[in-house]
Amino acid sequence: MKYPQFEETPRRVADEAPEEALAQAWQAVQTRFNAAPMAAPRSGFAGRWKARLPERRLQRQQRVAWICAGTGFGLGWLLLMAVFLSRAFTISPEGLFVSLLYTSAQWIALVQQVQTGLTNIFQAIPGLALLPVAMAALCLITMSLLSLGWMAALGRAYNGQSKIR
Amino acid sequence: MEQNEAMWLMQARKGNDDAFAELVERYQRPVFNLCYRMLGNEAEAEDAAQETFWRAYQSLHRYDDTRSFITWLLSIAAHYCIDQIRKRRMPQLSISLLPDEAAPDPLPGPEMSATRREEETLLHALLEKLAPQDRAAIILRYWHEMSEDEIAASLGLTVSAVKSRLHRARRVLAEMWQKQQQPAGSFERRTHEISAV
Repeated sequence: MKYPQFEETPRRVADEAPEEALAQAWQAVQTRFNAAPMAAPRSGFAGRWKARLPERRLQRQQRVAWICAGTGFGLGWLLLMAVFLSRAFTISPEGLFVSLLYTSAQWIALVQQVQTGLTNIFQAIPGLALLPVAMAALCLITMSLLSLGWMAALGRAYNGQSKIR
Repeated sequence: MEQNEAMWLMQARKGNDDAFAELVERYQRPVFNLCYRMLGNEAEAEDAAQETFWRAYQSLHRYDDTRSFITWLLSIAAHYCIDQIRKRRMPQLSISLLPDEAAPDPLPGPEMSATRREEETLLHALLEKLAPQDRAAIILRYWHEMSEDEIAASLGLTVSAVKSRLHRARRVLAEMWQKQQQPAGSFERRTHEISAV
């Protein structure tokens, strides 16, 4: 051993009365350690490191982007909560409850208006009134889905063309 | 610090990947050895060594030139390996059951290779019983010939803590050795055979 404390170690261990055998055991282990060579990696280690560098850089950029987005989202959420709480504390709990009820009632009224409007449109179309309401709704949904599909296909075709160019 | 190393470091800090690759080439062996002795598995050691160099590359701007570069690298590797060992929640196979996971150092002839493999298995079986930080301290001391001060700096411990860890580790290793020798003396016979070869 190159360091004095290692030379002293067996002596230190042996000082403890029942432990001479331990000191010998330690010397055997020490011999093994001294004889064991430095393990080496497979050849081309540095090359593999360099080859993975672009991938690691990309991963780091993605991680940074996610952290930024998460931080932004978190800060936005905190800001929103702060605004909400600051408003909530300026009015009494009863006032807040009434305001929530009022907003809910407004939404319900809006939905009812839309429903009435749609019913009027359906009634204005001749012959449509003869169809049951469920059938009319099914037709409308099918038509909407087909339109969406058509638009998506158009979009995909356009993207494909721009990539080829 | 050697002139080449200083130059590579300076160039690597300026963003020259080839210069850092030179440092990887130069220090791959000690870093890999530490990871291999800590983790006891060649594939994991390769990953850990690669990760060590990547971490060093990322935080090169934080490297203090007054410290030895290899000590800094080994410090990163030791911390990473300690974390990896702590993360191992799944029950592990004992390394002694995996004779194929031998040191990758090639030796001439199949007999020597088998001998080396057996020696490595014995060493891993011993090191495996130590707590991660004790294991790191022992490896840095015996394979990398670091002083207690250097080990303390590398592992973020006080010198007295390093001394006590080394003392405890030596004791555990000696006890382990004794226990392994006891059953019918077969272990001792085997190791004597190995030494004779």
